[in-house]
Amino acid sequence: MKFRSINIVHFLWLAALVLIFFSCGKDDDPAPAPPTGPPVPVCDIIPGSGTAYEFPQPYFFPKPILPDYNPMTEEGVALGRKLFWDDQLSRNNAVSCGSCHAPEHAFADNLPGSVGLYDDITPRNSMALVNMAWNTSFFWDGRVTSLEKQISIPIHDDIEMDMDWKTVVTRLSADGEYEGMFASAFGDDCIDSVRVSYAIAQFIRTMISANSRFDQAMYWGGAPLSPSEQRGLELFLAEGGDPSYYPGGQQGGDCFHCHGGALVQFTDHLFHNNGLDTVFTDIGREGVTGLPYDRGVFKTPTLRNIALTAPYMHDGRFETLREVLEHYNTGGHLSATIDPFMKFPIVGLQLTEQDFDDLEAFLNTLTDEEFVTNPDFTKP
Amino acid sequence: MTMKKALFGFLLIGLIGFTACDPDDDQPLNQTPRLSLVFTPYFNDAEVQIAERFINDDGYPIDIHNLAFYMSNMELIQEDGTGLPLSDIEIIDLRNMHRTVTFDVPSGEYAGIRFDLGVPAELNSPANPEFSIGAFDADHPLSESNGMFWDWQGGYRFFSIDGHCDTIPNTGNFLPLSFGLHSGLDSLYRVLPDFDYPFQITHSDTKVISFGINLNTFFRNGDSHIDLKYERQFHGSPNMLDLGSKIANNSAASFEIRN
Repeated sequence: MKFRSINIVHFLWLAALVLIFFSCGKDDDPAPAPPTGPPVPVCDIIPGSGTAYEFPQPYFFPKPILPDYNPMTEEGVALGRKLFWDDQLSRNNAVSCGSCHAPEHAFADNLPGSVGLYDDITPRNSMALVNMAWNTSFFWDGRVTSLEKQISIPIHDDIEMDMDWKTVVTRLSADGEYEGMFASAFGDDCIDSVRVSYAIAQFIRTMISANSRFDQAMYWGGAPLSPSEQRGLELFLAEGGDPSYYPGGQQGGDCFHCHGGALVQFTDHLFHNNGLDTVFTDIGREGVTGLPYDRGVFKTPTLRNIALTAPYMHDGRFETLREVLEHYNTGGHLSATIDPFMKFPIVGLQLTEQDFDDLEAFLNTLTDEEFVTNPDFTKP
Repeated sequence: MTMKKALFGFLLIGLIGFTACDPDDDQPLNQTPRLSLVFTPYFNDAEVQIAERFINDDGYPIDIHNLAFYMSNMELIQEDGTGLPLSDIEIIDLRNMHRTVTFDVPSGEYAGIRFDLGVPAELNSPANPEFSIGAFDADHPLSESNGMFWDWQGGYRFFSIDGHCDTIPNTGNFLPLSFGLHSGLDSLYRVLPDFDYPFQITHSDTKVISFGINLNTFFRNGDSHIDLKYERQFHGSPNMLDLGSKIANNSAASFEIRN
């Protein structure tokens, strides 16, 4: 029995030690594959680096979203601008962020889908980069909720830039111009994906449009809108429908429901199915939420500089603003997810040609020439 | 080594092995009691999901596309009847999955809860010349980014319900009509009766109170009947205040505790 007891004791000690050894594993995930090359560096966050950027907040705008984890600096913005326009961020050095976000198109492009680095076409229309510091979600389907996270998606996209961070870092590290810029912006010359994303996000946040003719008339004490533009604004803010058969109708354009808000950003920042289709080839926000009621639902884009961002809708199906207005005038196509704000899918809004002219005149007042010609936003 | 000592050593090491490496060791225990209020629409005592079709009391097929509202002056009712402030303003947006508000609260016994429906005049733009939409961060309930602010139309929407319906029987797959009923003028702000609901909340508890939004009541609250055949839109028009009042009154009456 003595012999047997000793064996049990030894077994228990051994089992306990084995238990300790294995119970402290970080998690049950399989071990990562061995690296095939030098790892992508991870840079330190060095507080207080750079010269604080004085954000030019328009007095009539809501508070911008300026995350504490990425404080804006003059140097960070300058670095972000250079990166924004740098073709090295694409696999074959063919395109930069600015290739699909050109100033003359309010930092969108003029194609239904954008042309990527291999001349393939993106399935969705390039979104204008206007007042992004006030955006709470990004992309037509709102798949990310911060600019910092947004940056990596086109860089990695097979059609757009087809790039990986390791190569980006290798290229930028070999480019003599960047070493000092990263050091000035972030405190040392370390380069990683976070710093690249943060710098580009800082630059994009500086792209503020607040001086359109509408802004001048409404907020800056400038010349009033013309009679046609003013009537267009009134139609924009009026309910659709003939009051003789639709209580509350004002024979207006019904635009304000999604594009009104505080008459500042001209978007409700939400997602809608605006009646483009009955059967959907692009499921839109459902691809993010997984919710069937989000099928064919897309983000409301800003109307600022809308005259410059043709073609329109998530797939660029409409070539002109007039076509867009005609779509809304028809009432759109009925579907299970059509937005209730599309109130007249059968009878339409019944706008007149004069209504179209006036609405278009108003939309044209949202063009901000100062914004699209600002030399601070062009290729350095 | 005796058997007893060996077993003691084994147990000690085993205990260390089981406890020393707990990944949650660095996280402090939640010491503060919390109160969560969850809001769910109901019709005929059945939970209503966004976009789910049902037949309302008037016999119309209907679905709810969105239901959002503001609550203000939220207080816990203490046993002596005085209020313990929870929040000045909160938003619920069911379509966007924001159906719960949670507060840290002191331990104790409470008699119920109270809140108003809407945005108080001092926070709503028409009555406040100092109002600036720029005062609110993007994550504030009153931020423009919540899509509940219509500057020229009386300020914020207080209670906003949108959906589809069919008041003329048809054979199509889709409901052909839409409705959008939005209360939102200062005169349509409503102070709700206290919700009497005695409960105790103790150290490290999370107490959940489930509120129902009774859609039967919303569409027919006694004589206050919203018939979608005739009344499908109110967005603050001054010449439609009768309908606006019905929306405000019926929505205020539709809140009930369902715990």
